[in-house]
Amino acid sequence: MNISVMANGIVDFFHPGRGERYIREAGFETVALSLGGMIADRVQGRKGAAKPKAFVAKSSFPVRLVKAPSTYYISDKYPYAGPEDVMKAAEIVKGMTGVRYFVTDSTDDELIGRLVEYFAGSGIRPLITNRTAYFSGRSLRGRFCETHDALELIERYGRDKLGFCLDIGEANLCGQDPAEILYALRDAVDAVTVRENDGMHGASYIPFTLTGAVDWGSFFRGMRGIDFDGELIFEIGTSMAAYPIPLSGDVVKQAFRMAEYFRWQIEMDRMVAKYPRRVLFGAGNMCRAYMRDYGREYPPLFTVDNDSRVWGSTFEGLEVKQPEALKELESDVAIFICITYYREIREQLLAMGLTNPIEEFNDEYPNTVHAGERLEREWSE
Amino acid sequence: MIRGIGTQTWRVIDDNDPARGFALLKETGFDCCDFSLNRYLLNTDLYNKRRSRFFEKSAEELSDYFGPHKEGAKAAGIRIHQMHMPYPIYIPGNTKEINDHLWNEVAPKSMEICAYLECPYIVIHGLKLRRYLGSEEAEWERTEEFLDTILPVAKEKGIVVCMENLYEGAAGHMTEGPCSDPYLTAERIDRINERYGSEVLGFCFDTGHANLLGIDFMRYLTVMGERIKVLHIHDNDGRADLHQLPYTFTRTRDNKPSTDWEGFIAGLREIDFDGVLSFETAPVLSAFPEEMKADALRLIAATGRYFKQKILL
Repeated sequence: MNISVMANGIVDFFHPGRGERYIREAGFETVALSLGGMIADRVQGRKGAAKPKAFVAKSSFPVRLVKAPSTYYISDKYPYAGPEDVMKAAEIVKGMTGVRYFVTDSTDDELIGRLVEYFAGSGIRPLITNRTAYFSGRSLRGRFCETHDALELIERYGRDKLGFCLDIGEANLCGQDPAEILYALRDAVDAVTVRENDGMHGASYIPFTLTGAVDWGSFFRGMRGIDFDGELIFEIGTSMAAYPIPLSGDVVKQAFRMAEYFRWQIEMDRMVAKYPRRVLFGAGNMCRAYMRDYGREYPPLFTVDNDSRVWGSTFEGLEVKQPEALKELESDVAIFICITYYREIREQLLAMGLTNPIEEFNDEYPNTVHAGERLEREWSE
Repeated sequence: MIRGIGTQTWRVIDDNDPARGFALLKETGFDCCDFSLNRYLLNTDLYNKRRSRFFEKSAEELSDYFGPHKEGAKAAGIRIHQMHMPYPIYIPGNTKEINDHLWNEVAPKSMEICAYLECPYIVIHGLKLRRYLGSEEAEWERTEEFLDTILPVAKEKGIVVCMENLYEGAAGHMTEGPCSDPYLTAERIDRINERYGSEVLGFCFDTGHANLLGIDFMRYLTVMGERIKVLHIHDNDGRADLHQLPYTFTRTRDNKPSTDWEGFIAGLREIDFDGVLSFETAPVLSAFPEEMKADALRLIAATGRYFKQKILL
């Protein structure tokens, strides 16, 4: 899985230096780009299209994904792209090195067919996306918000020729469950755009800005469930606009920290599966959560805990030993920290001279919903 | 062919004098009603672990209780076309006593009342368990378990049980509930009807619930097709389930309706809908002053006649 940040909203394409510095200092190594400004610039008589191209040509950031100008129609007063605008954008993108995906929000079969043909054999895959449709001041589900309709078109051309970009922000505008979309589309999902909004307005905040506005737990479960290995793009334009300019760099750094958190959660299953043997550190709720979700397939040898009162006891079927027992392990046995004091425990383990792989497990968004267990017990009574 | 125009009995029919309420429905332009059986066991009470003892009455006592309603509807020329089973039918974390009562008493007695009132359709809510069980598929399995307790009765009595599209609330905005995916819902209805060898399961399309999730009415209706047996027609602002009159809400300065009523009409036309245009708009009657109840009902019925005219074009 590769993580990029959308350059639009961070980089001023007329003066790209500062935005590029923000991205570089934050830690992002690749970017995504939107050519949406092309149409606004044309309508307003500015030569804007050249600027994103110039940015790509001079920038040290590889561009992995490009969004075509939006075909989203509100009214004749607002700029929107016609088919030839999208094909012009496709021509620009074909000339860019390293781009893998070209996303269009068009639902026009003919245009999508032209894009599939245009990009065939180029190494760039066109992606359709779940764009909502404008209706009288609000959003309605567009054609490809229905997974059945998206999958039908993708399978018509073949998954190697057409893919899907899931936009979490758009899904949130029509109350859709991210996991159900991911389960339905599975390996047809090549890219996911991560952005947060309140479900009513199409904003692009850093995740967790608004309390409970997006079901990120469902998102993580869905991404793990399909073993997502595509392009994950963070769009943070609204967060960038909301904060004072002197704090802009910090916003991008926060977005990168969030990206790291997302990678950790999404790749939790993979992390657990990576090691042939493992032990746990902690005999509490997180250990219990591990045993519920992974204990059968990836059983730990034992667990340890700093609380001497539990040494020698059994917890969730595991023998609880003192931390000194870790020194007896062969070096390839991984240690999964199952306590939120990750830094402190890691320091403790390193101070013990251990060279085993050390990983941080987390149960904030487990695969099994806790309440489901109680429900299953209720049901069987 | 549209078979009638109906509305809820809630806030119209007084149990002390049901005949008067049915007469009012007829006088204001309706020929059918949606019998609000759900008001005898309110969901708000259930969530607070309270329940009325209404459904502890025997089947005979319940028939006696609703005898005047049946007679009143007949006398007024109002057909009891559909009814709503109390909901929810299962509440996770609630007492076993209440959940057993809902599943084993309320549901079967509701079916008996439906048969007694000679009502062909009863609307039920699917179980809302997605957040507890982790997937929509697991949630549906539980709903199907519940359906298997009432569908044999439906088959025996000639009643069609209708699932309804629902929503859930999360952090101040609405998210998908049961039956939000028309393709999955259609496939499940067909599979169950084939298993029973009879059309025991159908669908109730709720415009207000669909509107909260930005569902495309035309697409949903055309995918579901003839599986749609009954309707709950009402409007909202896209944010809260307000159950108001169609055409009430706008979002822009040009003041065009923010609900796609044209799409709704076109969808019903496309599928040759031949049922009743039933309005689930009891809150309109509490929004207007009591003195204007008849006027409000007339406006609801007039909206129904407008829809009928446009659908038949």
